[in-house]
Amino acid sequence: MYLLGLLGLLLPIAIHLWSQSATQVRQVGSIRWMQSTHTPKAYAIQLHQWPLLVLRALLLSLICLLMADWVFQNAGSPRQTAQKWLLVDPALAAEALPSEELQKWSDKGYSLHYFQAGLPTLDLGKPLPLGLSARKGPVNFWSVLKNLDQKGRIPDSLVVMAYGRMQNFLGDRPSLSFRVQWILFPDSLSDRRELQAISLPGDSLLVMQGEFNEAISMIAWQSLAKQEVKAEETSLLAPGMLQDSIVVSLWASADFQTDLTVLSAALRAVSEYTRVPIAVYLALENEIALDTLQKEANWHFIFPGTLNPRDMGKLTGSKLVYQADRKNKKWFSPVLSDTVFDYYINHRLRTDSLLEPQSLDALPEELVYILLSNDSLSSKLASLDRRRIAIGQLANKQGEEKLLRNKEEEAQKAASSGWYLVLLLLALERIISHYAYGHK
Amino acid sequence: MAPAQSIRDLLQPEIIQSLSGLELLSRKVLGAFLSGANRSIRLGMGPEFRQYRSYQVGDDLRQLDWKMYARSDRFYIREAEIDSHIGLRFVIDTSASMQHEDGNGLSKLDYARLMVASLGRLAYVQGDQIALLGLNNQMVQFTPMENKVGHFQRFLQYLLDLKAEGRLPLYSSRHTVPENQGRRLMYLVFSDWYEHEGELGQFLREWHSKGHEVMAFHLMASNEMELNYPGFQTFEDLETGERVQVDTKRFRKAYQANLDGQLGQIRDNLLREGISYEAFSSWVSLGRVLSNFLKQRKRLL
Repeated sequence: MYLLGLLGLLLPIAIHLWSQSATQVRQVGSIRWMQSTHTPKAYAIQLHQWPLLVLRALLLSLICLLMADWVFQNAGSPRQTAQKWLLVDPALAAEALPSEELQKWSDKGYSLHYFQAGLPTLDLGKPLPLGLSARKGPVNFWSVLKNLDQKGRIPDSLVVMAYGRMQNFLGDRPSLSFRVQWILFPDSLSDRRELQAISLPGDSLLVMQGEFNEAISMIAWQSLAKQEVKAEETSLLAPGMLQDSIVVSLWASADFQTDLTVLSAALRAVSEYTRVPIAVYLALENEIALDTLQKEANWHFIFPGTLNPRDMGKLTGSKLVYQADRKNKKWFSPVLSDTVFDYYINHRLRTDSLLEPQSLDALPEELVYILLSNDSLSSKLASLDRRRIAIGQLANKQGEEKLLRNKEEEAQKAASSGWYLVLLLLALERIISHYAYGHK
Repeated sequence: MAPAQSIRDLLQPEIIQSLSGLELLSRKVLGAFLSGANRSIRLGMGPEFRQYRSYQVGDDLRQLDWKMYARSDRFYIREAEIDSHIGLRFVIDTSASMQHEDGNGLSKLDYARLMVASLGRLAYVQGDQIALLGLNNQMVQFTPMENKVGHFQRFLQYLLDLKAEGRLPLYSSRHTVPENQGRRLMYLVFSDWYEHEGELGQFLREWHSKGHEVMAFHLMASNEMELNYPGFQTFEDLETGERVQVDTKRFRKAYQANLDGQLGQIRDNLLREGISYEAFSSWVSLGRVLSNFLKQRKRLL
């Protein structure tokens, strides 16, 4: 519709061609000496002041294009109609997923579809369509998502519910312009291997399982009864991990009270997720007598103003020390040089840190990997990882968000720049018009 | 400079300063007499004794010096010197075309006011009698010719009150223009010379033919001379209301050539009649322009 406004270009052309009274009338003493220089009307009907005409046409075109683009961009804005899809693996829908679970998503405004080519609609309460139930062979999830991306059918929110089966992730992982929220269900049929086991209270183990192919490396934590774990795989049990709980000491001054609160909450989340008891000891005052505190802990989180650096070496266990690093996008990073410290805490653990606010949600996740993994496991994972990923696709979750956000920001910046250009051209048009048609 | 709003504005200090020490000289007066400014030395009754001469038949008996008769037993006429300064009539064209404004916002009438005020002051200080005449076909405004105390203030007020409207009056309506009671005057005419039937020229020739000295000051705005308007313009004649559209950039040269020819013709016609002519189109330094004019005039006289 706004592009039809380009027809308005005819208007300035018409004005420039036929306007005879566009000029300012000047009163002079006499026109007697101008009679012979009078410009005939026929002469007036020509394209004069063409630079001004071009400028006005450009201005009008730019406004139309900006308006059309603005309308286009806002056509699918959340304020109007948010596109939210839930794609369900047909195998999951047929076998295990209760309809109540799907109803919850539907109530949140999600449109339900089967996760396969064409995205057939999933009708609650109705059985799987014959075409889907008769399907042979697994759905290639990457292929379906890539097809979506290529056709430009990008929703505002996309959630996938599926079994975490490697056979659904065949081929190279495509570079997608949107983010997928995966909800993967454990699958007894999957061919996963145990990587590490942690003894839990009772007679159970927290087992880290992994499954690897060229397209995906899938890692999951599963709580199993000891008897479920195969006897020959007890060697998976990481040395030093046979304990009832993990002991964590938090050292901080009053200035870092908020950080400690956040850290404590994150440790509670880790404990609940992994079902590993974590004992937290807090030391909040300066010049704390080392003898009275927990020197022996599995992990020490140290913030400035508490421990004498000389005393840090007396602490057992691994140590994380706060040292601000604005450029680092993670909460924690391993110390590469040979020091008494093992990790750096790169940012203040609070909502006004330099990382995006939602990064605080990822704090427990990072803590899981730090607290429950070790060097040998990391090496093992690295050796098992078979993904063929182009460097450009090596983006963590935050990176993807930034990629998408940057694209939106770039589009917004371009639009803003366009409007600034309109203002500039408008000012220029007025100045040229003022001098072209004379001034007092 | 800005248009004069009050009497004080008419006497620009820089212009007065530029004219300081100069005199407004009348050619006709100097031609008859030898010295002084415009002093016309006449002998007759008066307080200042000049000479005695023998009585001749027909002399005014009131001029007989009876004391000399008593001493010499002969009749002598006492002659005294009477200083009679000349009369200057400043004639300003107050037709509508004088409303034309130059690029700086001042109209030709504004400039005429400034010139007349400065020259009028010069003449007044010299002792000359001055009068003002505003000329258009709507109204003829004039002042008496005097040099009395307070006259100059009234002169300036009249000057300030002049309004430009209508056209120049036709020569046929010359009866509306005040006469001179037989005195010889100097006419200083300030106009842009936009005549319709040669009326202004006829007035000047009449005054000149009666023995008055006539000086023509031709006023043209710089934008009139150069047509330095940008682009395509629509011009409206202030007097006739006619309009014309001109591409100024394209026709500037032709216009200037046409104008130069017309101005030359006006100048030649006036000079041929024995009327002094001076064109003013630069408003940059009015004081300097007037000063140069007076110096040049003195050299020529």
